[in-house]
Amino acid sequence: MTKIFFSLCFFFCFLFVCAAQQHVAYKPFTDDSLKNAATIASIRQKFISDSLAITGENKKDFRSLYSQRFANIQQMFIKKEVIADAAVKDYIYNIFEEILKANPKLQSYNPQILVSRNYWPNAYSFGEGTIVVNIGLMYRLKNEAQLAFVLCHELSHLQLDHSNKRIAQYITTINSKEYQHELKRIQKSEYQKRQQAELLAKNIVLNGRRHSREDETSADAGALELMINTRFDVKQIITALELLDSIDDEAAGTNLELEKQFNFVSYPFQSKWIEKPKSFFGDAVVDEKMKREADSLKTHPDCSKRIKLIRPKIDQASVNGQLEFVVSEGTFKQLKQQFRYEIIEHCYSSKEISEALYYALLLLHEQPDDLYLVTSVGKCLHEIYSAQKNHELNRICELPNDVFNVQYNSLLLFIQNARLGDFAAINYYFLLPYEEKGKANEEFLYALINSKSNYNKTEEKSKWITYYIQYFNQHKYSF
Amino acid sequence: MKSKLLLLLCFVMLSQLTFAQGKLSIDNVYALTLRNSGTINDGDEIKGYYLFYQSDKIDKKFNEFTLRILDPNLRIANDIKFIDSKNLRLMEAAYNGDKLMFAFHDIENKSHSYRVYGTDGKIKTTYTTKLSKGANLYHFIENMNSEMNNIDRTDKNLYSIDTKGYISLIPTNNFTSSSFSINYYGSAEENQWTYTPESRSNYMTEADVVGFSEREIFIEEIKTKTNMMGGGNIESWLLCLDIKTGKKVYEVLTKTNEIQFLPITVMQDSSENETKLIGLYYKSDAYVTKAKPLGIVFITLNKSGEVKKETRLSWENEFSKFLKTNAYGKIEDIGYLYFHEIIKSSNGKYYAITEGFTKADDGAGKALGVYLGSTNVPAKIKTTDMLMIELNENFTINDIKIYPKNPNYYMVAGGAFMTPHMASYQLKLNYGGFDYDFFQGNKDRSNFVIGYTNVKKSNERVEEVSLNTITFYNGEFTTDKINLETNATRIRVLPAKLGSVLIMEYFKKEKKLELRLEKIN
Repeated sequence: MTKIFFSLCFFFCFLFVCAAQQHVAYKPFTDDSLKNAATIASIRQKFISDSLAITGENKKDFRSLYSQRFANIQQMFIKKEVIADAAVKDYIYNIFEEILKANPKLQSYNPQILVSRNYWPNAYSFGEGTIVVNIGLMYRLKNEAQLAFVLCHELSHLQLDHSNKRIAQYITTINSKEYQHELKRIQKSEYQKRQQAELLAKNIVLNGRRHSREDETSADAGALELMINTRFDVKQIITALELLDSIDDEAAGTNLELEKQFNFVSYPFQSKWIEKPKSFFGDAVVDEKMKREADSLKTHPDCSKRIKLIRPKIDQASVNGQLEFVVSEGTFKQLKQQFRYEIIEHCYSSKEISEALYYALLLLHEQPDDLYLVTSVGKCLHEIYSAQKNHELNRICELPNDVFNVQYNSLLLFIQNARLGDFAAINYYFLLPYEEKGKANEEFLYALINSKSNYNKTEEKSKWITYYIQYFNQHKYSF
Repeated sequence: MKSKLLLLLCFVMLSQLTFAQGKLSIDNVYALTLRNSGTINDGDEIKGYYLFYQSDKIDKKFNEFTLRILDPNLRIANDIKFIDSKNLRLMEAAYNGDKLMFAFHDIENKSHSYRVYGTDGKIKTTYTTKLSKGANLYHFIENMNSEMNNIDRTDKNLYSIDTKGYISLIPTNNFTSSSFSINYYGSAEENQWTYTPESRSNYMTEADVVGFSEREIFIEEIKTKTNMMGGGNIESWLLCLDIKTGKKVYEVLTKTNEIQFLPITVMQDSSENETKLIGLYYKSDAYVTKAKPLGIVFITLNKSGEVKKETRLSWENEFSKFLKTNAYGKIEDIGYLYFHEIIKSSNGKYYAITEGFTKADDGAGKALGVYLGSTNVPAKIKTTDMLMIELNENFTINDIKIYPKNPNYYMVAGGAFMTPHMASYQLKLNYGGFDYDFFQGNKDRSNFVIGYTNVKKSNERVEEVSLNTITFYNGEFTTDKINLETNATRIRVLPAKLGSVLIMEYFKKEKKLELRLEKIN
């Protein structure tokens, strides 16, 4: 449920609060492949010119890391992570433009903004000009000003050249005479190699982390300077940072209600499906250990510390008339809602099925009977059934782990504990009440027919296949 | 979710340390060496796994070891680092619902150490047992066998007892005789006892822990009197020890006036203070090493070990209603039955998990052995189908299901002069033979899984290897097959949490060990 990012990361989210909104039937975003091709071509051009500009004795190492960086960006396009839908691009471009216009000096960095379909609440700067904001972060934000702060923070990293400086620092260190001499000494020593090697590695990592934490603080300050020049309300920096602090509590206000969603008269929910096996080493041991490591290794300083540092400056900079919304409040709210569906769609098509099912059930709790969500749950359960049958379940679903939020972890326990026959039965009974409502929807029929097939309801399956072929002349699926 | 990201970032930073080509990096200066791995069991339930690494050399005599403990979902529960003799081998691990025990063998110091860890990952108690000459010789022979046969040595001599402690069976070997000792190690409080049977020269005694009750432990002893030609007749004994004191409660020959029997499983009925045994039976005067069993028997013993009741199911009368068998249990197209497990399920029924086998008769080999004066002529054992025998509460056969599988062949040294049954015992005991792999079940046996390997060969070439399972769940049996085709250098399947198996793949070139859990359907 995570992605590994090379460059400086910035992530935050907040307690899941969804204002009552007008529900609009979801339609997946359509990507303009020409626009995407043009974007990646321009990023490639920048990578080539940056690589050619490198000089000095360690240029091979620099080129190698720059190449890895470009490959990471390219992967986003290959995995269809980048949204090239006109409405989304235009909207984010307008916010970006508001910041760039107010800060003309940023134009020289030629920044590119990419919107990623990733569910993870994150935004980051690759360091060569590309800034990414995940829809997993955007849907959690409350207003445009918070989004503007996120963008300003990443632009500030770019402006301060943090990523390239860290690369340079790292390459210089590992190529230094002292470092290589130390490694040779460790290699030659007969005893206690691990202790010595780990100590050396730890020093580098901790040094890197310390610099990263310093970078975050200076990026916050830089973001404020950029934001002051815009029409956005700088007080929203504080609310945004407060959201970051509450990321671990996200699940507290939500409930997947597996016991209700998957409880049927003919096939009652079994509590053993979500039973957590007793661990011989208590969770407390792991958590305590993680906490210790997190304290020393995390890249971002505590949000409370960041708030404390930035608040006096914000109090000075805040003036009346600054706005929470500059571009369009309506579009912001509409996109937020669409992003939540888009996450499900993207996870499903990327075969991240446990995540797709989690987000579908989460939203279904708020939008009961939504046909897209019902269909998504049905399709995910079918994928789980098929993968388990082929012993490939762990390729599409994560294993339970206490580092995940409680709700997601209970879903993972359910996936692990329920048996093949249980999935077939659950999917069958789950989709049964929606037959009439969904029969005009091709995706729903796909899920429905598979549920009949998996639960060995041969007659029902044949009936619905006949209906499907008749109703959809140009049918997408064959059974 | 945040914590996971932070950990991954840490991983990224460490892995980046290795990128500089042609220069030294942390990776090519130091590497962990995996010594061995295994499951952590609580009875038949898998509670986790251990990976035992040599993580550093401290000096000439000592190494640093890392004991990585994984929970049933392969999450790292803890890394325990300690410094010890460089010749340390981790034999087994067990969990008793409260504490973990790891059994180590220090080859150099000729001792076993049993370390008890609490749920906080901290060591609570260590018991050290100096090994006798016989126990050392046993380990020496076992290590040699596993090295010669290129197999991972797996010890199955450590048992957890509720939350009280652990039992360890230590076999001994003195060439002309063999024996064992039973050791108890308390985990709730420091307490230790050792039971050593009276020594009988020229007797080979093989022991197996066959059951527990709240107060007692039951050990089956197979005693063979050795003679000039090798083995003599065998005697089967049931030894019952008091868990609290280690004192012998009784030791009885497993025979009645009419029959003698070899127990397969022992169950305790605490409500009636009775012990129930199920085993193969022979005529009372049979020379068991040369004879064939006549069927299976259900015996009830009182608290003194006296037989109170017996029910026999003979091949000739009861089994023949379900299988085409002769009076000596040879079944058409299947051969004889090897009983791997007999369990009592929560529905009151008994299920016997058996595997068919025959011994290929090699007349020429035998003749050559006689000519050379050697009894060490090997025999080829052919294994056939898996069979599940369902018995009701009154111990009558309800049903027998055959699960077909491809035949497989195993060699048993010295097996040419043994009966098929004696050769099959040797195969199971000394070669880890048969295609049956494991049994896993919950406490009340309302849910259990049997795993076995199916090998498809063509002209001696292996075409397909699969792990097949028979699962009992919600009162029904289902089967599944997991293909084990792999690009890995070695593949090993371990039982996992109930309803799953763990597949370990080692890639020699990449020096990579991959672990993945697969759910059983």
